[in-house]
Amino acid sequence: MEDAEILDLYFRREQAAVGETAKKYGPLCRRVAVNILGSEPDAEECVNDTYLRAWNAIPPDRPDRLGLWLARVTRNLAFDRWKRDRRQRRGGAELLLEELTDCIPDPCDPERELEGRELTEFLDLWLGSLKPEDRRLFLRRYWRGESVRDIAKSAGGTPNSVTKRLTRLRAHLRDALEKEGLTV
Amino acid sequence: MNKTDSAGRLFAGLSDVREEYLNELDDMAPKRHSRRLPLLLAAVLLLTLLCGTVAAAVRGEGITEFFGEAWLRLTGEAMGAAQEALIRGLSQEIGRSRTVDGVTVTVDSAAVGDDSFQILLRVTGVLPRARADYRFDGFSCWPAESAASMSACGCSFQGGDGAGALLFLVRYTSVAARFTPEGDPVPVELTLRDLTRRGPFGDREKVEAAGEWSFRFDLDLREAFQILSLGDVEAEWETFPERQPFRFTARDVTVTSTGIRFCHDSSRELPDPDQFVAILSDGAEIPCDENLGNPDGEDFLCTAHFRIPVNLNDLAALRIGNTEVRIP
Repeated sequence: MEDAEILDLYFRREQAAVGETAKKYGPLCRRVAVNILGSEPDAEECVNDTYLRAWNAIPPDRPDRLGLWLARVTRNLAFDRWKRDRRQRRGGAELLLEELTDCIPDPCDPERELEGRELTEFLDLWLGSLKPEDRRLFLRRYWRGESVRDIAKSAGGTPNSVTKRLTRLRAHLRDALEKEGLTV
Repeated sequence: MNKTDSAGRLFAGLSDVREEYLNELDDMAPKRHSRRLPLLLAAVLLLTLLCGTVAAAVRGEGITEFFGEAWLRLTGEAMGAAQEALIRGLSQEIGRSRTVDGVTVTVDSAAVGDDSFQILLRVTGVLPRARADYRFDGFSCWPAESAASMSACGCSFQGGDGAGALLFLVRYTSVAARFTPEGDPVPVELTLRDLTRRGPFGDREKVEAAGEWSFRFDLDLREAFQILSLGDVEAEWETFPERQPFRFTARDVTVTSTGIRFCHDSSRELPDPDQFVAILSDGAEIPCDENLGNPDGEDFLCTAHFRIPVNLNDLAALRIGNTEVRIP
């Protein structure tokens, strides 16, 4: 079913909207949630929360890109849940955050600390400076939380080569922050 | 500061990055199916093949054709006759080659302005690798007579020429005019040492060809070109990434086909080169990609050089930061 038809179901308040959403975008949302939470049962709950969030938000919202909108909601819900439960278990986002610490400049008197919208604007600029294949690689790992092995498998490389590329991209982001005297 | 907390903020900040980037991830973009796709693909393939042939032919020629291709990429239009004539007027063939261990560097041709020049280099005898970055580990290019003013030089890789050669562009800039149509040719010394290659992800750099290629040749400005005086210009630009407005006065602004010269308060920061843009009468925009400042007493003499020389008869306005100055 086309996105516009699914959205029309939401706007008519027909419960079939949720079923069609699950059929079309359930696998994507589940993958994002599992990657961050590292647990199938937790991910399932998170995806159900996403459907509930969609039911409550549409209408009045009418997302231009339904798949992206759902994936973003799932990612945010999963990360919130992971932060809440982090003391109890490791997995999923723990590893992603450990890797992302490479991007954080050492605390040697940065001129400014970025947060919120400013941080996203900086990330937009930095991502825009990358070659599209590098940008996809970075976002597959740190936006969707895909495993290095899965990325390597679908991109036709080896896990080792993907790891090396990611390491360089993280160093590149840290350099970009340091060059502007910024930190996060 | 706890780095894990910072990484968490970074992870959260990524959530709202531009949709266009996320749409590049295969299954997030809406899929469109069209029965016309095979036809479109065939058309694109044919166009690509045709463009590839044209690009190879164009890049195989001199600096005028090199600028012509850059102009097309930048503006989406082919250079007009007057624009091409201007660049031909600034250009001169050099045609000197040196071969070391089977690798030949050819100083192909140059375009000379009154305070700058650009030289097209062609390197053959190495196998061009896709998406690799090449550079010379040692490089210098200076007019032989010592210059009193501040000057700078650089050499940047421009990709392959489509026929097996690597192209490099050498750029020399200074803050004061030194080439004149009436003056004697200026001897230039160019030295290149050890060609290196780096992979697309900043892999360890490898020496592709060891050796030294040295040249000495003359350059001159053969034709006088227009110089426009705009007086003082009040300009404003936004600092990056703070996005704070910053006002400054560019004094005694003059524009030539190759760039802009002006003075400003030495205590003020110089805007980035891409903050200086030539706007042509057809709306095309040619930004600067190089600028230079030299303290001179209380003043700061500055230049910014256009990415491609422009015909001033087609110049409609100059943009400095957020300020647009119409050309009278």
